[in-house]
Amino acid sequence: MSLLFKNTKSGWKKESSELLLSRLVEIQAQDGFCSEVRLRNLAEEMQLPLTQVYEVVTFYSFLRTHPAGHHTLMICNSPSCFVNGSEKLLQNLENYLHIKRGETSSGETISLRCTSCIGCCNEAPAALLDDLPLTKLDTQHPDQWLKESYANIKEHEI
Amino acid sequence: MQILKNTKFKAFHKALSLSAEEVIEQVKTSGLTGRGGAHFPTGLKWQFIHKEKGPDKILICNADEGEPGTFKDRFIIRNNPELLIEGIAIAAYAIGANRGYIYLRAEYKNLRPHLEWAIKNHQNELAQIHFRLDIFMGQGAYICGDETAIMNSIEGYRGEPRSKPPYPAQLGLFGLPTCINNVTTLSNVPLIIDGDWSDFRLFSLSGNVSKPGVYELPPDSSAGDLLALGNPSKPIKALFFGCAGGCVPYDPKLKLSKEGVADQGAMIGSFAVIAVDEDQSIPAICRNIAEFFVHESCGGCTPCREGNVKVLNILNRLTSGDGIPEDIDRLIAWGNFIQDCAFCGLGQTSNNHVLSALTHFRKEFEELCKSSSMKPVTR
Amino acid sequence: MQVVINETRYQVEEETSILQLCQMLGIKIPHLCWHPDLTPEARCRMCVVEVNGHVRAACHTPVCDDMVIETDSEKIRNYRQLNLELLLDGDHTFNLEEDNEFSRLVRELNAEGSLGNGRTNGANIDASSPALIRDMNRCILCGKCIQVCQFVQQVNAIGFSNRGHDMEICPVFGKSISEAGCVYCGQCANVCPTGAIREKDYIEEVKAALLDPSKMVVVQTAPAVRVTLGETQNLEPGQVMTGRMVSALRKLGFDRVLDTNFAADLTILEEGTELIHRIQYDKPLPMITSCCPGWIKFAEHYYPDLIPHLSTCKSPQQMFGAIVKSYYAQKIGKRPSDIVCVSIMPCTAKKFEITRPSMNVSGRRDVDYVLTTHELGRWLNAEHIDLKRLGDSPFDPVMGMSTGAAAIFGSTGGVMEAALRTVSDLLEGVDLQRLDYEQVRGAKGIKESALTLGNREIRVAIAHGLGNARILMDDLRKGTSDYHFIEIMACPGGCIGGGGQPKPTTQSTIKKRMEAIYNADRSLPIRKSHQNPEIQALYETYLGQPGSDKAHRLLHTRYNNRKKTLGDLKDLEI
Repeated sequence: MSLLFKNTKSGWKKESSELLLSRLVEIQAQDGFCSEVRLRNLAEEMQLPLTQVYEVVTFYSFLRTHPAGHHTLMICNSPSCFVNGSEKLLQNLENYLHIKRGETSSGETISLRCTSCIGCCNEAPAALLDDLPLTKLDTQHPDQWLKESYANIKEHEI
Repeated sequence: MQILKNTKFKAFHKALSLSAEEVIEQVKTSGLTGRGGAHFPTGLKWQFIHKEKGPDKILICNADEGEPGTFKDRFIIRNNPELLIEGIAIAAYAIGANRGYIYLRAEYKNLRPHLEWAIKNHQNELAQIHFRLDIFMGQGAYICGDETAIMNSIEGYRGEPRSKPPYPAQLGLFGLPTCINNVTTLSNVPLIIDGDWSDFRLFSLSGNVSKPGVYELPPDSSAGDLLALGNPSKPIKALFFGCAGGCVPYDPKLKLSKEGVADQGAMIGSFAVIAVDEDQSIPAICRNIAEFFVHESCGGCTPCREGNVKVLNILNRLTSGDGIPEDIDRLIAWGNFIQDCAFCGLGQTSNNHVLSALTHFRKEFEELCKSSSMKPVTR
Repeated sequence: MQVVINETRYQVEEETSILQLCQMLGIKIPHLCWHPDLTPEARCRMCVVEVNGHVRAACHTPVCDDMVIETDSEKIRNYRQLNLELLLDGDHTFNLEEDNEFSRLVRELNAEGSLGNGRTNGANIDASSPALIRDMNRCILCGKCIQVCQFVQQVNAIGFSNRGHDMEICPVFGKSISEAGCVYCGQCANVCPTGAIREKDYIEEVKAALLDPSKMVVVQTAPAVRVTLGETQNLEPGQVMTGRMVSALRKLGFDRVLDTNFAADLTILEEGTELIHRIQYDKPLPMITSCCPGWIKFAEHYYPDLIPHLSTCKSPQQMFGAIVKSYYAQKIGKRPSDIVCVSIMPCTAKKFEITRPSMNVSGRRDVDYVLTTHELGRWLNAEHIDLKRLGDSPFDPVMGMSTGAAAIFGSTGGVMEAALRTVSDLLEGVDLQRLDYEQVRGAKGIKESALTLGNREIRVAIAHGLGNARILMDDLRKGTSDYHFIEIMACPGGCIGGGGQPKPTTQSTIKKRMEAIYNADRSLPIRKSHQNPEIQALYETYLGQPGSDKAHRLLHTRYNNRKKTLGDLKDLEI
């Protein structure tokens, strides 16, 4: 079938760049989020409309335009983890950290979020602490493994 | 396990001694179909791209394994990445691709070094077929597992799916002929070319089992075969095939094939099996799955974007005790509408769960509905 | 190809989509996000039909041999209702009394809303600009506005943000359009099916002025309005109804009905003189037209380095305002502050233009209010004024006479041709018989021509649609542009395709309006601007000659570098 539609949803747009997403990830890794200033600079540098850059940033779950906690704890809440107690885990974490899911704690500045399946279903319930998968989590006493994991990260940072 | 076999790139070199057409023929004869969930015949797909004029053609390895309950690709990347790279190389040769991407989901960032290591080890072989292979990281979007959304994502756009036609084989990434294959599909290829392959299914088993994991089983395996390996401690009530596949009541004799599962009104998809025991509430699981689809919908079409919220609202009411009998009919009406009218596979499978659950476990939903007839009904 | 649609067999010759085939055959399929000039994106899903037993969106599904299509089965009708229910849902504050694509569809399908989804994005109304209002409560995310803003106009003021149920259409970082480099061309308003983005309405303000006994309210009408006003009453596009337009305006109560076209002739005198001056004295060439406020704002934001190339002439609307509150006021013995000047324009950016600095030589706004053709149509309909029943009236004198050259301003290439008619006479020193410059006419996005005038080769270019303007401007920046004169219109088709024109404004209606424009030109006795006796009188008795000090003070303007408002990096701390 010959081409019938010159389709903007076919990616026949002008200025496209496969480097955009990785540059955004870099910016977020440096600043913790993608600020307006950084995005304007990036758009100028890559000769892309700022609108396009912004469209991409706001589309993906892992990118953000506002600062969050120094660390992000994402609890998987998809069915395999769900039937293995992820709800209980979330509630206990909310109590322990004194925040609701979606919020950031003062003090240790950790953000608590739900996330979709992270592929650790055979070790449920699971979570991601920044880039690190945490698996087979104790739903009743999250404080223990959280402190431990946190200490591990901090060690690496120093 | 065949999938852990390391052919040390013998299959690649064997493929190079054949013509591209011969390689494609072997893959076609093997009957290999896509392991990402769509089950498209791999050899046929390769033939489409092979037919297109070069010199620029693209191969994308879809490592955006996002279907809940699926972790077989992760297993392969972690334990046998070289097999995957070899499969990619053979595919590139067969279709005549000079550029390739492994689209790796953000959640698998800690596995990236495995891939980089495997690619580095085989730079020479990749150079031999003039194939440049890069890793492209996703950033948290289930929709990017869709083959056309993956292309938009790599191009630097929102990961919304595209209309088909045009098809990726003719007009894909950057407008070039493009082949998109799943990690497991590509990992089968060296085993096929090597000659020592017998068709197998890679199941991801999880849920209420004491031995969840990746299990390699023959194509005609039954649910009982799989659950025996999983060793549940309580009786299993239902099997959910990821979020998109829907559910069936547990029957050890059920054949875990595309047809066997389809006969029961579900889709086997990426061979993810989430076993759910008798203590679980099916409506609660459906509510959880509806939340997943609401979060992951790209928003590009009305039925999926708005309709799935309707479905979630109804399931929220049901599971918090405020259900009314009409809710069940509403769920069926919305579910069928969304499946028929949505733009892409995500929307079109986003209500398999509730529709199949209502077919097989309707009582559990009915029990959650108040029997009072006080509320007026509009639809 | 052979296809079956609703159990009837049809022979199809060319490649087409199911929707377009059905349109050709007169089979109705509802749609909201489809537009004949845009790429089908199949977002709204109103156009679903059954194809070989599967449900597909008709707008982006190509017709294939042996297809069996059902467009009105019970299943499809049910799905349409469910889909509309979703679109009507939530906090949407639809005014179904208004006449737009969406309300017509809802009424036609007799759909009902239902209990809310609680959609919270869309609570904002962006009324920050004088030209356009964004009311996101009404947005159904059809995406047409984004297609025109990003791909056709390439202004990129708006885009999607977030995904799923949180998805919105807005400028970056939740800014208002006035902060985001919008040029107010209104092409988004042109395609919006729900009025989520629409022109800002000033009818009440104009009515208030009409009721004020101390004010004389004069109205000026743009060249493009007289060939499109009929469409607001469902008359066929392409009818010239100048006389009836004047009658209608008198009926509404305007004290004087005058003509922007008069000022268009004036613009040609000033701009033609300016061009010749630049050619003779080696000033920045090419010179670029400046009568389109959307284009001017676009240049100020995105090509401020090219500002020296812009003609310093004001637009006809603004020249009119300056003259009406000086020359005309004098002539009729009124104080300028007692004159309220209203203009009827095909354009939304004109509502912004009146607020620009230097558009107030009279001490206050030279033009007080702008109503679009669309607004005028609504007003006439509300007053039950039927254009078909009106006789013709002439414009009032002193500023009511105009030439064919002025009439063609409404079309792309028209300003260029009008200028050439005058400039060629001036350069050749004779009254040339040549009137028609066919090569600058038509719908092609970028047109070029070269002519020999007075021993010089004059190279000209015309662009319409800002995406095409970018091409010419990028060339100019690179130094590869060898034109003397460039005409740029922000809207595809020129002013007849403006953001304030009756809907639908498509390639097809634009074509018909264009024909009317050139018909109007041919029907006029005088077709060169410099031969307009009222213009001659204006210069002889008041302005002196084109380019005089007085002319400069009243009729010329300056431009601002607006790159800063987009956050020029030099101003930001990094």
